[in-house]
Amino acid sequence: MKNILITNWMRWIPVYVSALVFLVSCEEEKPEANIACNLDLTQLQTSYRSLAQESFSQVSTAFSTASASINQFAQSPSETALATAQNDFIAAYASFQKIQGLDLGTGFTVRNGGFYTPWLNSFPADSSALVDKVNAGNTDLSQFPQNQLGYSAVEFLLFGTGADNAAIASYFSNNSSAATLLINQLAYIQSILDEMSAYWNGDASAFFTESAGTAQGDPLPLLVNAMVKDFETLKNFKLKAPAGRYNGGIPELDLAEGRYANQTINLANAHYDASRALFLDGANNLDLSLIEYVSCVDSDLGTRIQAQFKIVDGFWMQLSDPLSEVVEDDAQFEALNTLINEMQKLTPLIKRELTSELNVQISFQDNDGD
Amino acid sequence: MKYNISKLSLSLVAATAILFTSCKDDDTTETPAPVTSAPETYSFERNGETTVAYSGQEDRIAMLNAIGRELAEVNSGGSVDAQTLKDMFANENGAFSSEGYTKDLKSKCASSADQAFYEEQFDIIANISQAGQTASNGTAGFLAKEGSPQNGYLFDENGVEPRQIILKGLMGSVFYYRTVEDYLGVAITGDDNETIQEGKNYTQMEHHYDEAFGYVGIATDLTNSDTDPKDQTRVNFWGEYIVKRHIADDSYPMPGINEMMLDAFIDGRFAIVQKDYEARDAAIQRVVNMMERVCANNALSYLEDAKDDTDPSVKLHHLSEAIGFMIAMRGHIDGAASEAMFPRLSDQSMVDEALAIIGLNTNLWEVSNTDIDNAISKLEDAFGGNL
Repeated sequence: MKNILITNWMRWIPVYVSALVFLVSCEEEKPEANIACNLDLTQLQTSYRSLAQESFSQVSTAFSTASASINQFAQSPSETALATAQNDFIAAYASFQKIQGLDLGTGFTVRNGGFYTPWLNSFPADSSALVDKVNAGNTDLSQFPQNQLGYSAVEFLLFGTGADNAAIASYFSNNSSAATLLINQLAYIQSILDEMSAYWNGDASAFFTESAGTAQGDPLPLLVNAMVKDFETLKNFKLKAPAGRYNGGIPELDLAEGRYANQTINLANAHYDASRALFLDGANNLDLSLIEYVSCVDSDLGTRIQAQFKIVDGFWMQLSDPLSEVVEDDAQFEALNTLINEMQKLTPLIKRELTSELNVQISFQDNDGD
Repeated sequence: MKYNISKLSLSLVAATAILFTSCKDDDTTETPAPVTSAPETYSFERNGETTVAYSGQEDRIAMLNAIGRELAEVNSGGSVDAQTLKDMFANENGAFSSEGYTKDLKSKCASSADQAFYEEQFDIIANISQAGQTASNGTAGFLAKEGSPQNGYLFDENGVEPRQIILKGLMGSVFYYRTVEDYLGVAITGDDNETIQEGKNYTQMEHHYDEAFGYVGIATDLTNSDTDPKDQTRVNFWGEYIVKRHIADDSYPMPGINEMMLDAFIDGRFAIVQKDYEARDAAIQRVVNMMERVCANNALSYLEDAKDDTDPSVKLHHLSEAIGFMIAMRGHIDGAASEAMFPRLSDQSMVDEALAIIGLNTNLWEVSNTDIDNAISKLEDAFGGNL
């Protein structure tokens, strides 16, 4: 009798199990990545966590090299030391471009936390405010706003404080506050790089190897949002804005990143290479890249994204700094605008189609109209 | 054993049936019936509530109307104050405190150069109006219409009417530019059309498209029976000149353009709801092309009017309106620097050639009908047969 009862109860196990599955799935409605693809999402996320660790290491190394030569210049200003500092800084600034697409808006605690990119590189720096701070001997960065801090501020100090290198070296020789401000900026940047390196190497980012959901706060949407936002920032603010695309077609060079060093195209190109590598892998040698995952979900979309990146690639070779000469030369200005237009064609692919296929919601705010 | 397997299978079927039946019921109650055709009017709903909103554009249209009324003081020999106009332009110093407008026109101009240009125009019109001169060749001032000493227009020393440059120009620099270069520009291709914006009933893409519709200033149910371009309860600014082309009895009529414009807007908005982006883009192309043609045809119409004018004040007024519309054409940027989704039909360099004949730097008092014909030819040729 007992055996019969157990048998009858067991006979309905599938019902109970199925009902349980139903209740869980119907009630929670937690979004999941596309189940049509068998690739392991946690493998993808783990790849990008490793990439972030490596990228921050590279950026920190480049910045350390620059810091050493900038410190040397600050302590003993000379044209020779300045030239070395400038070269090393530009290499570090270009290297920095590769971590902007990894800014998740989490793990950063300086000031009010949130995203670290605006605290590291709000460009162009407010040059007059920085000069005022130097003149007033105000070198305590704790109350400085974003556009007086970070890479763009160092760029101004090293390239924009005089008409030529002789004048810049003289400026630093005659303004000890300028040297102090410059050194403090280095420490400030290093502190953020250290914090974010610790984040990517520590337990705080371990959830990248565990969670495979697509709800807000899960690794995939954090990563995709960071990458798309980064691409849009590059296109809209580093290229379109200085090219005058928001000013009736009249270039606005004073909005450009790297304007004091005349490195706008170089930095934007480095940024593009970094963004492209995040999407398409390239030289990153990821175990599993986003484009592989996208192609697994929708091979046509993957193909179209790769093809459009390839089109964009070709236009960079037609451009070189300074941007002021690009906008004055009809052929180069046309090439710049064509580059922008081809990059624009990537926007619907990565911002709308890719996110839709991966069931990821764009959570960053861009133009919401008025 | 065989009996047990059958029972197991039955229980699986039962469980599966429960699963599918339950989920299907839930889905059915929340999914609205599919809409298969575009509405007749520009009205779209979700869950019984409208998804259409463009109050910011209505406010800016109302603000330009207010500036127009202020400027109209000069048409009866009165004067205006430049700072008052600049405050209205930028919505500063409580310019619209009683109306409660929170938007402004200045920040929405196509460029910082345009902002400076229109502020200069405010200075010009204020200075002329306060000088109290009668306009003549080389002298800025008020010129009454023949037979109507209290009514006329204010002109600069070249016979250009600043009021027309300001109003038509801002139609181009703000309303036209924002429509084709911004809201219906390439940016819309990347807009989110999945998420209902927080606290709203529309997606980002729907809203941007609606804002473009708002700037064009036509009614949501505009039909060919609309024949009053001055009916501001139905049409404003571009809407006015769309209806004007619809009813035009001149060499540049565009019969039915008002309904075609509305239909194109509806088709695009419906396509967005349907997530049919090819159809959206096709509709945007229709809108953008029609806007450009409306702008040019109104300019051409005023040029043609001027040829027949015998009253100098009316002739200068018509020429100034034409100049204003030709300046407004810059709202859609020609060339690779454009953010519009589709290129212009016309060549800006040829429009500039027309403006070199009849423009801000020519003495309109001395313009001949041959000059006007030359400007007309340049403007027509700019379209290469697509006018």
